[in-house]
Amino acid sequence: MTSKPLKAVGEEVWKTKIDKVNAELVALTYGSLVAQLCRDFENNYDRVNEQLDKMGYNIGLRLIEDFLARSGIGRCSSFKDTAEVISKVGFKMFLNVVPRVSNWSADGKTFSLYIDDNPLADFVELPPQSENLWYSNIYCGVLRGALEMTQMQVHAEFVSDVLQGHAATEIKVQLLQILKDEIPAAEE
Amino acid sequence: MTMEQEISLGSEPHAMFVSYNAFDLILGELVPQMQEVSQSVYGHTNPARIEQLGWRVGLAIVERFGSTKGDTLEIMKFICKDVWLVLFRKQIDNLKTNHRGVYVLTDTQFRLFQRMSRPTPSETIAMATPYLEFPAGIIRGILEALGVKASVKAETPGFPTVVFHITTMH
Amino acid sequence: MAEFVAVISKSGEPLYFHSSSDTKRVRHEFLALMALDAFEARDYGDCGLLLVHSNIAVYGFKTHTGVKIAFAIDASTIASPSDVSKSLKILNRAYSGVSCNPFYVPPDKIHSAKFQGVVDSVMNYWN
Repeated sequence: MTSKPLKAVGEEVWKTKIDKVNAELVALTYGSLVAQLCRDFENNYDRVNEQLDKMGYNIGLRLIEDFLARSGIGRCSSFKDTAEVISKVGFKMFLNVVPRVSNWSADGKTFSLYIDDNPLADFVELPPQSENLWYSNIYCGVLRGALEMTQMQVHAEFVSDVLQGHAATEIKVQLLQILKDEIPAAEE
Repeated sequence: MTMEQEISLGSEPHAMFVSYNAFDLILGELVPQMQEVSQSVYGHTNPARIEQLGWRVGLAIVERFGSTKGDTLEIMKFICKDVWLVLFRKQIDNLKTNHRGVYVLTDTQFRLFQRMSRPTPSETIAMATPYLEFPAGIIRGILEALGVKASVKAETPGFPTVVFHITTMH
Repeated sequence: MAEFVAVISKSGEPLYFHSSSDTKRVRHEFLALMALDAFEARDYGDCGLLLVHSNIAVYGFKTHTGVKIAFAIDASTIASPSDVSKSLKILNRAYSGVSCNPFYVPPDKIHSAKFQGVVDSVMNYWN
């Protein structure tokens, strides 16, 4: 584990190790995909959400390697620690935003991420009657995939989204179980 | 000017940035996702839809960042230098024209290929085709937004090179 | 006093219209139509004053894709050119934001709360 505070780690990685691209281009590309999916699924937003989650999951599986390599972060000692790393280092180094971690459940297995200034949501105005659409659902998949690669099975879902006119953009992350490492039995 | 400003296609100095990796990851998943959805909704894959996605991005790029000065050759240079640099971290390696409406753009290290999984060499070229549709669409979208109707065909003569054949129409 | 804001597609279709008063709307639309001719010859960017008619001064901005933004004020308003320019740039930027909304496909009609908000604040500035 690094001895530096996580916020500083995240900022340093962002400043020194990350190639940057104009956020608008990324928002445009992602947005075109979401709009296309809405057309393909004829505005069946449940299916769109599902597809975005799937896409995010595939990305999460690949992203973790990059994350570990660039951040130098080692194994997290607790789920609380994991949440802080996700927000201050993970989101920071990929999206240059630091969601607020809050709303912990009593058993320490569920927390919420509150995202201000969602870079993917730039310019977006949702079509009428799209209350079921979680536009940035890719994040839930990414969290699921990336954490699975670090032996945590989680469920992530949107609770609210400013794009839908809600007061905040909130993702709830719940730890379902720790996955045991597949360690072959030692030879006696 | 910082590198970020240089590569931000002339947008405002306080433009927001995300990591190129995030963009790369999204681009890499874009094609498989589109293919999968195509297959399940329409029963077949359809590269034209990926091209359409690129086209939409191309339109928006022009409106948001576009430079409209000059003739078609100037627009091609804008695509080859500025647009390619921001989207793919490098410029187009070669631009040829017959000065009669045909342009050939060659990228000898096409970035999206790096994101593809490659089962066997023979399957690879076939797998690559949909990946080419996205940048082909971007080119077509940029041209159309600037008033130039064109057909854009992309092909891979051999990895990791991509060639775009652009024929402008009058 | 701001009179109207109009957004017209490259081919001359009205995409958006906001008038300061319902009773003046017809006259405003007519002026926007008249302004189209003045737009034709212009290139991208701040096209400045396009025409003055019925005591209304119409200014214009041509976007990168040839979309025309017309902004009109009462001709008796003391208007500094830089203020007009700024308003036009703000409207252009807001329009480019609309065209970046993935759910908007040009040349659809513009039904954007964000765009309306910008128009409202520009109109308010001049009132």
